[in-house]
Amino acid sequence: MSITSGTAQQRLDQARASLAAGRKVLDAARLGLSTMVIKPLASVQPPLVEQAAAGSSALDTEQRGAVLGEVIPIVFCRRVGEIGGVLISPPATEARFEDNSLTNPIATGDVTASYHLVLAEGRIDSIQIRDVFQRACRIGTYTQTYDRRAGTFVPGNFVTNTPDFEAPYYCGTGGTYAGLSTMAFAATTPVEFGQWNRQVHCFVRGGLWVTRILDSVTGPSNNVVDLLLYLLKAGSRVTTDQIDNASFLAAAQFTQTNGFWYNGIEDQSTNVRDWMASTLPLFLLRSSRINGKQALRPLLKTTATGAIDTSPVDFVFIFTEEHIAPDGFSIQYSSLAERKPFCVQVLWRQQPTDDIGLIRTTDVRYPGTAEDGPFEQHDLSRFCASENHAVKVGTYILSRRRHVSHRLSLRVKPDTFNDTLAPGDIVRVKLDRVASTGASSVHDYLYEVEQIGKSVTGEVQLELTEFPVDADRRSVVAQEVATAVGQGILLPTGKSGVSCDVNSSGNTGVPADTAIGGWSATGTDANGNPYTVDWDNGGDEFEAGTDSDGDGEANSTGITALSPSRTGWSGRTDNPKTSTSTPSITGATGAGGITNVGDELGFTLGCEGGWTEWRLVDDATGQYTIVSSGVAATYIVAETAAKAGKSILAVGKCPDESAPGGYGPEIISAPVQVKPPGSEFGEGTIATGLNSITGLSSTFNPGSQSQWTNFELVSVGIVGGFSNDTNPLTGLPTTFRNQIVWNRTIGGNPSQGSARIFPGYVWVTEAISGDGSISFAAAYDAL
Amino acid sequence: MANAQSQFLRIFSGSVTYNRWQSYYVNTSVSWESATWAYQPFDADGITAGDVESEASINITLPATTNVIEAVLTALDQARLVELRMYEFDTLLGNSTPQAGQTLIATYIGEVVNASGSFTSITMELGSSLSPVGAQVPPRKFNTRLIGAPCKL
Repeated sequence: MSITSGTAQQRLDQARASLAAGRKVLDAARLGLSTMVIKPLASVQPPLVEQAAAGSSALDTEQRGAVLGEVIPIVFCRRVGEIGGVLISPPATEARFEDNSLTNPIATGDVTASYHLVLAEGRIDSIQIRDVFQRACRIGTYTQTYDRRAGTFVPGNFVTNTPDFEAPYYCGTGGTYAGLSTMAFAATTPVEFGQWNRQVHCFVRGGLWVTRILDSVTGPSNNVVDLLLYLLKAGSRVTTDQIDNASFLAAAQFTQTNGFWYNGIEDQSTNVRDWMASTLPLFLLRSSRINGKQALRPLLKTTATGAIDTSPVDFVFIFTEEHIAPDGFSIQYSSLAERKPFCVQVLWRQQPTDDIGLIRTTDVRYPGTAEDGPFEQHDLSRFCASENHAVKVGTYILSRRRHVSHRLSLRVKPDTFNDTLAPGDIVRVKLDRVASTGASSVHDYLYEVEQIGKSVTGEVQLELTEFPVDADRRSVVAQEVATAVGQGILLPTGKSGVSCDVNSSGNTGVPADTAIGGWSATGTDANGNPYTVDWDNGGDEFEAGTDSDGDGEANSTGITALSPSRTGWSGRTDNPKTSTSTPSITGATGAGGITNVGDELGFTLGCEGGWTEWRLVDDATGQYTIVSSGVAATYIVAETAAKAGKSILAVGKCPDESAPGGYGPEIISAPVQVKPPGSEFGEGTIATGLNSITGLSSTFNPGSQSQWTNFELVSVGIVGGFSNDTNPLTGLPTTFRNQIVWNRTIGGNPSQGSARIFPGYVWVTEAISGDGSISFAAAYDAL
Repeated sequence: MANAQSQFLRIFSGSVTYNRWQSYYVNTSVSWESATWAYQPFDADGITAGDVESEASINITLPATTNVIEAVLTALDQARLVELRMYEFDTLLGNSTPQAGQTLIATYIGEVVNASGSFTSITMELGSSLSPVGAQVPPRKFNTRLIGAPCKL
């Protein structure tokens, strides 16, 4: 249950209804029907705010201009006999002000004010000459049309010869006026009269054209059911499958038969549900649901012709003790406040046939009660032009409040009523109340079914309202409403003085329809290109944007509807993983991450105050020497490290006060190798017996670490291999010789394989291939 | 006499019916009203008739299978209607196929106005498209296309 937008009164009504509904939901939950939401019952709620009549119109005001975003009013009325019609005060969208000129030969000192007015949404009946006013005077000329711009005047301020007179300068541009009823009005008056800018009023006898539900004729209607159908279909796009036509037809017949007619303007933006909740009860109708469809029901029993049924009623089912589920009986009596006598004061609109209407009040009270109040005001002046309508609604409010003493909630077991009982039916509840002391009594009342809740468990929740009847079982409320009739007195309008009318109050003629066939405007877009906004007679869409095709007309790229895909995407199917790699040593300037002598190496732990220890590691033995340590310590690669042929490791620890040593677990970097000073790498050839290297390539891509710590000799056709014993250089240590691993055989000779490279030494070959050379993957220069 | 209730659900738009499901006759399709109704487990709220504010809606919970999700989301997207019917019948007279004389005790027709659920189930809310916030009347407002730049008086 939510509170929606609307007037303060509507919101308060909703809040109260929400609270009531909430209590019923709780009750239902206690009864084990938690999924069933019980709504408040229908009635005409007393207004929380009483204010001036909404149907009143101020006459002598300044002409109002239309504002973008303002709702386009729906004028819904149909004058039948002497009842109906509505006075509207349309806003102007264009204006023209002109004094005497060659095109407007009027008297000096006069000014002609022309206004283009939007009368209403949709097509309405043609307005008669006697029904067009400026202020309270029938003056001026006009033309009315539909779906296009009325009249031919060009908007603008053309006042040039009248000193001390200033008319508005922004006079409007015009548009398509698609689907609108429009009027061009013009009147010439002396400037000194100050009437040129007065509001234009029109009395509309036939409003919005709809297809009337009762006779299927397209034209104006005064049936509120037609209006609701229009609002549901045009405004809210409710499909016909969701509208219960039979109940709408019966409701339309009910309002027609009883003279509950709608003659008003809808010019305030309202949620359609709010509108239904606030308006329909004032036509003695209630919104309902039949099989999920939107439905309408009269608040009173009706005959087949729609008249209020005052004949004896019959009930369709009797509920007794055997039907009531345990704890399935709940009764709610009317409060003291609801029982006090009061006077219903109804506001409505008296509408003479040839004059401006007036607001009336009608007091409805039981004889001898509430002579001095309290008064409860219900404003029907917005749409009610019938005294009988006002009186019957007032009587219904009064009678129901007086006679309906309680409501009943029943939870009953399923029975034969299951498929026959419907909302609006009359049922009888007859229960014996047997007391252990005192006399037994009987709860025996007739009720009207307001709600039926059917659950999958089979139990049925009924919301019942007492249906007060007389001794002949005739509805008391229906009788009182049916017999309530207004006094039929029409008050004079109070109009006096010399008439200011120029046009006759008896002129029922209608001027010819004169209109502009289309409208366009030219301009320059943001890129300096000329464009034309083309509104062709209300039919074309507005094209906006730059003139991309150079035809002098603006084009809009518009919105292209794309088709989203929810399956079959290519690309990764997993999420990024949290990195688990240890920090790496930074600062190595050699290719491929190899360090050079002099590099200052760092080890970023990602924590403040981290302790770093630098180790030189003997790759063969795994033994290491700590060369530097400290908080955020760095290490500058020394030449001795390079010559020693050792790897460098960084071991870091982040502070951890909970750890015994104040630091957390060790974070050990990947080892980095130190490039021997002065060495070269690359493919080349070692000449026979020489200690020099030739043919070294200028670049060497180690690819991976192992490629330069253990070079694989990839020569072909060589015989023999490295021989440490015949090293022509002196000083080759034995340990070095022992590092050579011969583990590969090429051409049947076991002397090929991997060798570990130590800096400072030159490799030579003992045995070579026939061409006197050996190919190798890498070598190094002597220091 | 042993009464039972069965529920039949139909998703349709105009004269075209897209899905016919029933939840009573397990793992079998049944014929009813000259149509075949496939078994589809679902759970529906109770049906409330005669509601004042016309806000009554019912929820239907279904397993979140691919077909069901497709059907529900398509219905939601295209404003299809869903008809839920509740029948009452005597199981002693037969419990394997719908009985010819079973009683229609409640019907609900609504639009799929909302859908939600868990990974394993999806609940569609049937109701009226009369949104509490969107269905404003009068429906149209003055805009530039209709009246251009209006005069300033």
